[in-house]
Amino acid sequence: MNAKDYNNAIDQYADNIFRFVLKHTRNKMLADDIVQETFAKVWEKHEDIQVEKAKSYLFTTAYHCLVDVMKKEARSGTLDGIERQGTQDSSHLFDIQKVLQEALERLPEIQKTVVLLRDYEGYHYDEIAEITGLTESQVKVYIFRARQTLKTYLKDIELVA
Amino acid sequence: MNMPITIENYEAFYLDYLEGNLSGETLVAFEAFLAAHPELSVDDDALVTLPVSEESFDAVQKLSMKKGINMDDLNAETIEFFLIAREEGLLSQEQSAHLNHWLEANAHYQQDARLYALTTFEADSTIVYEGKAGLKKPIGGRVIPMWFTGLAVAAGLALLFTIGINQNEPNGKSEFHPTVAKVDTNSNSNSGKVTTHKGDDTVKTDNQKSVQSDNQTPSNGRKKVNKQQPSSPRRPVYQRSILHEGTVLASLEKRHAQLSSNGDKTITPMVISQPTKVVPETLPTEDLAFVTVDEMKNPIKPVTTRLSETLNTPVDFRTAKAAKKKGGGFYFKIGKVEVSHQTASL
Repeated sequence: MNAKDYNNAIDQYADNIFRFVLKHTRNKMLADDIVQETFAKVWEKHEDIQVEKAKSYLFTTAYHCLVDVMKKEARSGTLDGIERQGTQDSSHLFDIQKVLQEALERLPEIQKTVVLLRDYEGYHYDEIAEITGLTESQVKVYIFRARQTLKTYLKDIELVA
Repeated sequence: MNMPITIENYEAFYLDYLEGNLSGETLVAFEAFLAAHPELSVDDDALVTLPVSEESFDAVQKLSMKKGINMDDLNAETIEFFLIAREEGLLSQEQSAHLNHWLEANAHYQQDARLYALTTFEADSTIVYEGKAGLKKPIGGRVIPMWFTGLAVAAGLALLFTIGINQNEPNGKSEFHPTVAKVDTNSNSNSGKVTTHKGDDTVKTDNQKSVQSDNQTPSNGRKKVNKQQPSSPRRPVYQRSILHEGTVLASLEKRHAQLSSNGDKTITPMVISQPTKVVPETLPTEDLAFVTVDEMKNPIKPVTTRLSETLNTPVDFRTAKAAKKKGGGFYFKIGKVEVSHQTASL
C-alpha cells in the first residue's frame, strides 16, 4: 500500500472506523484518538499491507486499539460515567432506534463489536473472526446471542409502553 | 479422620466445611480447629459467592454452533434460532419459505419475528470523522521537512543578495576569477613551474571582458604577455576551479589560436581539471590576505548534506567573513557547477 492507497483508505474507511469506535466509547474525543492511532499504526506498516486487505487491517487495528483503550478507561472508570449518563438520557423512549441504541449499550463489549461489524460493515463471520481474534463459531454464537438479547429488550420495552 | 488439621492444610477443610461436605468426625475436628484458631475464621460477608446463572445453554446457542441449518430442527423451542438466521441471511429461499409456512401455522410467534427484524443496525452516515485531512500523507517523492526548505531558500537568497551587492561595488574590490594556469617563464619565485594564478590579467575570459590591463595593446585589442609587472594589483588566489571547464576551454582555445597566428607562443593556456594546490611558500605574502575555500566554513552543513543526499550530487556552500588580515567570500558548488566570490581584507 503506497501513500496514495493509504490516503484513499482514509477517505473510504475513516468514517466507518470512527462510527464503529464511537459506538463503543460514546466519547468523541476518545474515538478521535483511536482513529488517529489506528491510521498511525497502519502507516507504520503500510509498505507491508496489500491494498485489498487494507480495510480488514484497519478494522483489526482499530479493534485492538479500542480494546486497549476500553481496558484503560474501565480501570479509571471514565466510561462507566458516560454509560450511566447515556442510559439516563434515554430512560423512556419509543423511538425504536433510540431503544435499540440503548439495548446495544447493554450488550457485552464483544457482542457489541461483532454485531456492529456485521451490521455496519457487512462483514462475514470469518472476517469478523479475523478482526477480533475469535473463531468463526464464536462469532456466530455471539451474534445470535446478541440478537436474542436485543429482541428481548425490545419486547420488554414494548410491553411497558 | 486420618489427616490432622493444621495451619498448612486447613484451607482445604475450610472449603469442604463451607460447602457442607465435611463428615461428622471431620466436622467436629475442624470446628475444634477453628475454635483454637479464631483468627482464621472468615466472616460470611467476606465470602465471595457466585450467583447461580439463570442463563442456560439454550437451543439457540446449540444450533448456532452447528454447521449448516437443518429445517427439521424447527420447532417451538428452536424458532428463535431460525428467526435470527433469517435476519442474518443464512436461510435459503426454500428454508425461508418453510419458516414462513411454519409461522403461519404458529401465529403467536409472528411478534417475535417482527422484533427480530428490528435488531439490525444501520450506520448513521451523518457521523463522520472530521480529521481525515490531518491523517493524509503527501504523495510522491521524498518528504522534505519545512525547516529544510526554509533554510535552503534562506541560503539561496543570501547567496543572491551577496552576489548582487558585491557586483555593484565600484572599486572592483571583488570579482569572479576563473581558474587557469600558465607557464610563467619570467616569474622569479616560480620559475619553470606551473603555477596557478586564477584570474591573472594575462588571460582574458568571457567573465573578464571588462577587466583592463596595463599590458593590453589597444591597437589589436589583445594584451601582450610579458613578465609580471610589479605594480600590477594582486589577484586573489583560488584553489578551486570556479568556471565550467567548457567555458574556459573555449575561451582559451580561441586565445591560443590568435596567439599562434601571430607567432607569439609565449603563453600556453591549459585547463586544470582538478584544483591545484598552491604552495604557500611560493606566493607573495599579499596573497595570504585572501581566504581559501578550505578556510571557509559551511554554516548550513545539515542543509547542504540533505540537499546532496536528495539530489544525489555534491553540494557545498562555504563562507568567510572579511577580517583585517584576511579577505572574505563564499564558495558554492552543486554538481559540477562551482561559483565562488571573494572580497578583499578590511
